[in-house]
Amino acid sequence: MKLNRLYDEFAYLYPLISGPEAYADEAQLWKNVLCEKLGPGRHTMIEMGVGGGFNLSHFIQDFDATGSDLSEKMVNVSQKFNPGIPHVVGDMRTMRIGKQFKAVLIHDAICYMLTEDDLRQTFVTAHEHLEPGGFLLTAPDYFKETFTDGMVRHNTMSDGTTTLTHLEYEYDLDPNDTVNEMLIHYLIRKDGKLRVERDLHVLGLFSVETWHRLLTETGFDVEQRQHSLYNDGRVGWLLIAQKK
Amino acid sequence: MKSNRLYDEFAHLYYLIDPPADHAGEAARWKAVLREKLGKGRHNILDLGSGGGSHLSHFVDEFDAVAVDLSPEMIKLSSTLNPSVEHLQGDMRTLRLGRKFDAVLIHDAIGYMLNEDDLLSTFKTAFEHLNYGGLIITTPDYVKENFQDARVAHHTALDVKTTLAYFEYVYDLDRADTTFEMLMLYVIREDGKMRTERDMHTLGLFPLERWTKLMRTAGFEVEAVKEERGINHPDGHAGEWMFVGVK
Repeated sequence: MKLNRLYDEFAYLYPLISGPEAYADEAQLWKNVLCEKLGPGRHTMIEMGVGGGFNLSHFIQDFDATGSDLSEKMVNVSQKFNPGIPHVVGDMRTMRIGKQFKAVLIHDAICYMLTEDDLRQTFVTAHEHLEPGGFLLTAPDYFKETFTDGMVRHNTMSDGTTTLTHLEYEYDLDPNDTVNEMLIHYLIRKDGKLRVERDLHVLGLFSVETWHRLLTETGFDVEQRQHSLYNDGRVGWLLIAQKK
Repeated sequence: MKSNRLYDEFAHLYYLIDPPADHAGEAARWKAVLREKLGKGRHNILDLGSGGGSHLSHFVDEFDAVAVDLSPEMIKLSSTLNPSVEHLQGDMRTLRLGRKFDAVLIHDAIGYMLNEDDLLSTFKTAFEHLNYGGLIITTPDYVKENFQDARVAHHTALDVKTTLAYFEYVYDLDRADTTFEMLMLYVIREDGKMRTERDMHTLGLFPLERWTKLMRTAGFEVEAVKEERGINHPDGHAGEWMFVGVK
């Protein structure tokens, strides 16, 4: 899989794209669910597609956490942000690390699964890495039914040397396929100059029925919860899948 | 990066970016000033840097207008939108029509004046084309005092053929000069395909005191009027200062 530029050449800019606070409310919701499902105690968990590790950072106090990502550069970013937490470079569709956890978390990185086959493989990976009765928690940005064409987001952050403005635009060129597009522009200001870069992300877009069917087929019992924690007005979804 | 493409090769996207309806509120403020200074009647006005004519379209029912712009493509658009208006091609710094008007309007096109000489030349053009007692109204996007570095504005619109997402980013690379930069990004979806285009605009940035001083130098009595609006206004501080000069 070819990496998007954000996770490769622009990985160094990731801390200027967002920060841990953007994930705090949602992480709390996920922790509440894990506590409800697994009971008290310090459980093991792995976050796959950990990216910059902002989401993971909310779990490391209460869980024995591991992170994995396809991008070595993002693993480095996350490791710096979550020191002492073990990380693995791996593709969530095919990785096998020979360990089982109480929970597998896959935040919006799941959106990079573009076909039903990708999704199924990832669910099989999660299943393989879960203890019996363990939980997969995942959160697609959209279902086919909830996709909003033309969503725009932007944010500007500075570290004193570089000021980054990123502009995101989400759309769906072909409503008949299983993907939508997210175009990102990076406006990078440094040393009195502006540089503009473009990065096109292709994201999976599947119906609610597809998610439930594939999870069931790969050996999970599925529960779906809705929340309204996103500041862009989008309705959020959390899929809670228990290994049978 | 290429500059000012909006007024030429992307003229066909103009009304998706700057629809006439968006100017209704501001045009009403300008008309109130015109009525206050000129009184009732069908006065004649000269609109300099009329662009696509979106702003002008709110004046044509009540005033006899002549519109001038540098860009032939913009003149074509504005002529279609405002068929009753006489349109001429010209540069607001050097234009001399040999005719007088009751008012000269220069909307945000004044922003393309990049130095004090340009600005003063334009005010002199306005003065030359006004009757005694006539007035100029102009509104830059920003003055030095309210400039918002790294401000993003965006807008999406569609017509039968095109879905456009438009992004605008204003910034000032060199605070010591009299300009700032505006980067425009067009994300154009047509026939199931997407393309992106960039367009760089360089715009003048002067302190309030310089605006009023140059208008006085050209011969005007000047009022600077600030529209009070909250920081959450969709346009931020853009366009909050209106300069009115009376000959």
